[in-house]
Amino acid sequence: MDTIVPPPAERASRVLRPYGRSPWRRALSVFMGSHVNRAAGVTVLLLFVMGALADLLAADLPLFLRFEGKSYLFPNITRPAGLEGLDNSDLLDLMVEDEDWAIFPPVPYAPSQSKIRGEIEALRPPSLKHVMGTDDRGRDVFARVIHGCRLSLAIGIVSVIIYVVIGVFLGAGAAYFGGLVDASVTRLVEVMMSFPAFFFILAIQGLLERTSILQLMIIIGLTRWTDVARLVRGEILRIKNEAYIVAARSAGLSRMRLLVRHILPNAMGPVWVSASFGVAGSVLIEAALSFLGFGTPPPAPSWGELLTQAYMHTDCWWLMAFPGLALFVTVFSFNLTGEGLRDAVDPRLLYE
Amino acid sequence: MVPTLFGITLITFVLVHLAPGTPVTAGYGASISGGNMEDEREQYARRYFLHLPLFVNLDVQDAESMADDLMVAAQDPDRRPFVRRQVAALGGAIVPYVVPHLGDLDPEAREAVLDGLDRVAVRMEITDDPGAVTDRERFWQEYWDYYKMDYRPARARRLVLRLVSEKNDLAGREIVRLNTYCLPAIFEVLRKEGLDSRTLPLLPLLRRITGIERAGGPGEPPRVNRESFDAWQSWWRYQADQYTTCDSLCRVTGVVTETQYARWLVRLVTLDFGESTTDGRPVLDKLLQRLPVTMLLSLLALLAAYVVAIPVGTYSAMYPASVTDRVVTFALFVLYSLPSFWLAIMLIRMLCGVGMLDIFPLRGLSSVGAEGWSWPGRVADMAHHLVLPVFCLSYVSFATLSRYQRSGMMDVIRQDYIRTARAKGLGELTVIFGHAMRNAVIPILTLLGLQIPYLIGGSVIIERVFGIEGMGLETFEAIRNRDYNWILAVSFLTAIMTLCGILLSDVLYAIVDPRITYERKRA
Repeated sequence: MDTIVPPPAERASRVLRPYGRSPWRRALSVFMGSHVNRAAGVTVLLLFVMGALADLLAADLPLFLRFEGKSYLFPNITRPAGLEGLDNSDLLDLMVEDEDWAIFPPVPYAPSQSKIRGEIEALRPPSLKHVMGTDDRGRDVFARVIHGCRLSLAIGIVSVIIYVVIGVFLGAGAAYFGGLVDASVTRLVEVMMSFPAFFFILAIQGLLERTSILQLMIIIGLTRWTDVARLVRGEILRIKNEAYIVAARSAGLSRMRLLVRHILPNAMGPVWVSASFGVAGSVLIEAALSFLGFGTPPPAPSWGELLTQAYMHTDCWWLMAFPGLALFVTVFSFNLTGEGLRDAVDPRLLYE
Repeated sequence: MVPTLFGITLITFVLVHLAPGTPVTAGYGASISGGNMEDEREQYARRYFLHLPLFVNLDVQDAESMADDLMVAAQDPDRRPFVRRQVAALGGAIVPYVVPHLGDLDPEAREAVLDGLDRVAVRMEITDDPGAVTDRERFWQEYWDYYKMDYRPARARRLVLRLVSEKNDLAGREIVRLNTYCLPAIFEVLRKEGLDSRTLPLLPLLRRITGIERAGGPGEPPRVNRESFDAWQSWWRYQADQYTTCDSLCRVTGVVTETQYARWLVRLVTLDFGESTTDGRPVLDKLLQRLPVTMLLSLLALLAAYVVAIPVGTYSAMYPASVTDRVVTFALFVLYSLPSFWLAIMLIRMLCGVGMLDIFPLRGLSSVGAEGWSWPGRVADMAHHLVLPVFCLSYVSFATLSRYQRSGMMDVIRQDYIRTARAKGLGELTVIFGHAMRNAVIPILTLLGLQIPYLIGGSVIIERVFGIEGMGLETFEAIRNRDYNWILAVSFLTAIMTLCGILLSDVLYAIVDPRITYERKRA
């Protein structure tokens, strides 16, 4: 299943070396041993930084402002009383030279700000003023792409956390207790897998009256846990009879301690891989739902929503290119990370 | 297989009932046609069995309990108009439970019930002018004293059989007098005998008994009779419990069968998905019209995915780590990460005449005016329209499948028997296609079943982007309009299709790999 990473011979020498280190350090060193993986990991980190700092990168108020004799630190976040109804361009007009000064954010617009000096500049192509152009309500595309990153990553990460927890819980329970628990979990997985995931999520979103971001996270989480459950179940069934577990059991460890301390950590490898691909999948699902109009509720800066506009206004290439590229880069880097993790945690490669 | 199916129906059922609002509030607007709100809603709710409990029914409804409820409701002055209409509508079936208890009611409540019974009396043809009866209570008491021996299910059945087999006119009059009390017997005979010249007189009789205007009867065209027959049957499916008197057995089984879930399950099994709440057309008709388009799209995409994946994966496996292999695998990985709707709108912009090139048509599956063309022209036209949608729907699948094919082939090539084949001096192509291929395709065949949910989920987006009027686009519209019946039907259907896909991949598995047999099959 290895595709992009360098051929096995090159890797094997690097893998066999690190005896005596913890499996996590070993996996990390394998992962970081490839240029592609490093690039993917750095991209993912950059995306996280962009999402976390979205409010500082694109905002309608400065990061620091000296205005009318008062100083404001991060007025874009604190929203102080004296600045209501003002934005960056208003401030530029009002500020007195040599007295007032400000540090503006790199993108001086908020994601849902459609008026600049009272004017709506809809569907403007990229220019120095709007680096990625504006959408059909005059909102700055760059600001929406930056804030969309936060939205996408939040949905991706939270929904994956939800379904990893559900999946590990059910999968571990099924494998460890066996019998009726196993049978019912397996059956439930089979039933859930029969529904096309995207279709199922779409139907639920459509049937619910109101949508919110949290609700979307939960729905995605509740429908996509089946892969994790299957992986964990399979891994535990395999590990359960390994010599070190038998040894631990004969040492008199309690069932719970055995499961939590010795079995689960060793069964989690494939789960991280699946989770990494899963973030990409959830981001895609959110974008596709928003593209169809059933995703995050309207003012939220979703990439999918921008792409709907691109579909409506076919002559506005910037509406298609930038959000799409952001979406692609996110999905691609998470997929690549998953791919790298797959090799890093593959026990066959580690103990070869 | 069967427990899974059962689980699927359970999940779809729960899905609908978790959703806020009911089909009545969502679809009710479409069916308002003047008339009375309470009755309309009652009838509408009945179509969705909303008057039944979800899973367990400890209080099974029948004609007797309906009569009791109505007599209780008659005590409430506000509900008396409703009681009048209901008594009149239910007719003879509740006579044995209402008439003996008339004396127990308050005078005003009794008047309301008697008002309803007046109209029943007309339908029973025991009086022409109910207004002329002075003491209505005594009139009904006398009727009941005289005829109460007739109110037995066996008698009703005998009357219907006599009417059908002997064309006995007297039996016909008796049936009219017993009125809706005979409905279970009539529908039992109709179900057993079907519609023929002997049972045909039952249709006008039904009209006389229930007072519902519906065509059909001897002398009318067969098509009208057939339609009327179907309409009566579906009417009975929703209304039966109001006219039937339960015996003790049906009270026990009714705990399970007289529930929303059980009724709904029966409807699913008989492919009765109800009517679309947006335009009132039967969901099944719409499905049969839309499904072939989506099936065509999905099957072509599936075919395309395998046709591309097998050679590409095989080639990569034959020359691992070569430049071609690396380029191909990287390109496939990029493709795998491309959002299909983004690629679709980019392709439309670039190739469909809105932006740069004008190679492919923009929307739909056929050109304007294509209906008049000869069939090769129509097929070519459709193929031209299908190129982009099929590509956009299939590329994620073929990217995935190629990788599996590559690793499957690599695993096989390393095995001893392939070395033996090479050592015999066979050509590389013979080795790959004659010896290795069969084992190498096993992994991707097992994935066949799992491709189907992807393709169906993807079809919603692709059909929307390319304006193809298939199941996916209709689902998109249905979700917008909260068309419960359609969403339910499609969720159920796609789940069934996935199950079939998994079954199909099991079968293919056995064909490709003769070592696998399903003789000692587990459940």
